Amino acid sequence: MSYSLSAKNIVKTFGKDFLAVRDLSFDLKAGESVAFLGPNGAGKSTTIKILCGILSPNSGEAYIKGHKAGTLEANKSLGLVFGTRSQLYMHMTVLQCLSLIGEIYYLTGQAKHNRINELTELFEIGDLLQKRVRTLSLGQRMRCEVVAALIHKPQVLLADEPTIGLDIIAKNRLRELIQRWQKEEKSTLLLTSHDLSDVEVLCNRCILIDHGVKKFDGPLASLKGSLSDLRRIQITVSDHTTPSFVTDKKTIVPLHNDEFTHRYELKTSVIPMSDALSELSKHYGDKLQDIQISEVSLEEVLAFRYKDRTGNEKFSS
Amino acid sequence: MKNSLLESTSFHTRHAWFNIREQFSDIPTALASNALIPFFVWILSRVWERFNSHQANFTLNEIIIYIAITELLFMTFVRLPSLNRASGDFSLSLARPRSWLMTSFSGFFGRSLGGRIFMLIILTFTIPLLGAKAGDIFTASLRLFILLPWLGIIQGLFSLFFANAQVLWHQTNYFLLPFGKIFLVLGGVWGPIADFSEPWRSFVLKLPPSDIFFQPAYFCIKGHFYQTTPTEWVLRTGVLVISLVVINIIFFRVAKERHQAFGG
Repeated sequence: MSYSLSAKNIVKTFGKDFLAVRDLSFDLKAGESVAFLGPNGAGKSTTIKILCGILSPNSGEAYIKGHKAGTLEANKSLGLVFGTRSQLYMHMTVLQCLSLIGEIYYLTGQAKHNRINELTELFEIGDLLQKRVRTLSLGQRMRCEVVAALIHKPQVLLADEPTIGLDIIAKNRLRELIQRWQKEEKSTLLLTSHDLSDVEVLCNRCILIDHGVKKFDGPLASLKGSLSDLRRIQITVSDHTTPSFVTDKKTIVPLHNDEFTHRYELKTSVIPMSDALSELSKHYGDKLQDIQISEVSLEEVLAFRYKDRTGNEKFSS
Repeated sequence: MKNSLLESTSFHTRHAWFNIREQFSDIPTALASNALIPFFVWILSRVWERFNSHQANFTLNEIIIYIAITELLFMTFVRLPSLNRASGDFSLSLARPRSWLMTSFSGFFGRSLGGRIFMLIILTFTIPLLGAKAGDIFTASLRLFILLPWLGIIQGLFSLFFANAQVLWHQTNYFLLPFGKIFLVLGGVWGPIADFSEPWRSFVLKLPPSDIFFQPAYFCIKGHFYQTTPTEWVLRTGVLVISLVVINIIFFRVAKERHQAFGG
């Protein structure tokens, strides 16, 4: 099977004894959206740099659309977005920048104009084309950065922290636009981000690495492992003198309380949610004003998994 | 092969043009940053008149033009912001389908040419206000305009050398200032080499800085090179260009190799 992106037994060392990536292998199919996660210093950036040909591995190989990473053909199939590094020229207009970047990727003439028009419509940057890059807001600039990365219709997009520094509205908009683009062009996305809401919105698979070793590769939902059936219930009461629910069975565990808010944690594999809700409503009666149920967030899951680094806790799965 | 060479030449020409236009993209700022240069030329020409007018190689009219041209060439020679941009692009360019060496070179060439044309326009219109003859300035500007592409190539290669060095050893940034000062003196920007005493004059005339600052300025004013023929000047600068190309290719290969050692 031919993959959009492949890493095969990659090993990369710096200096004599620092092993940044150890025997890392994974494959991405066409159209997949994959999050590439790991704590700082895990080897994410080194791997990304190997995938896009900036670094060469000591052993192992990386391929983009079947072409060895770093070769002309591989580079032509690859789009890059770096949230912390602009590809645009501050003093020129967006259109001039897109035109030049298109030419860097051998896109010229009518094909270039058509592609710019296509992406202008898709990413809604029509009103920005004649503006100088230095006059754009960060959100506007990031949309243009993504367009610049996609100008040559890459089959694989490597996005490194594309929403860094954006406010929530700009973030949501950029995510929506990336989703729309991916749906239309059926390209592969490899995303690294410390903002896990990016990951939850854009990706359905996740690769987790730590100390250069792959720790997890699978659907985002299974990343939660033993925490997947953990639920939190937050109850708002009308009377602050209402006591908390306590049970000897330890199926519903009370967490910290505020005056009008009581919090509990439970595992649905131990007690079904319907039973838990029934017991809680029996306890609170007419003093119960509101109930909120939430799953464990991806942040918490990763924090739980990262604890393994310090040796405090082992991985749950 | 021929097609790819043509395509590459066409792209780098357009890239250079893009960089020329970038120099004109913010005219008010560029005007403001160049506004004091005519004043600077006026002060230097008065200082020269006070201390060196007895040398008799140049008249006051000529020395004003000489100072304007050498300052124009020197102030657009190996600029740190351009070097930073090129060395900052090094990593990214390895993930792009175009050569960093060529793209950086065409960028340097375009930016220096654009900057020099911009300054030349300002000086052509302001220098007559300092007392120089408008006709002489126009002729000198025209001659300089003809030399600018070739001087731009040399400037681009020197900049590329420093950008390569910056990727290899970032500490080389600290050498830029002394390097600039040495070129300032040996290039005759401080004072025309023709006014140096012997044996220094003959020695300094043989060095590359005199070929890229003093000789072009002398040619623009007098219509001929100082104690050398146009063919000899072209040959000497040609050897300089070839040497810089070779050095840059070697440096780039080493830089690419060394880049692997510190994580890109």
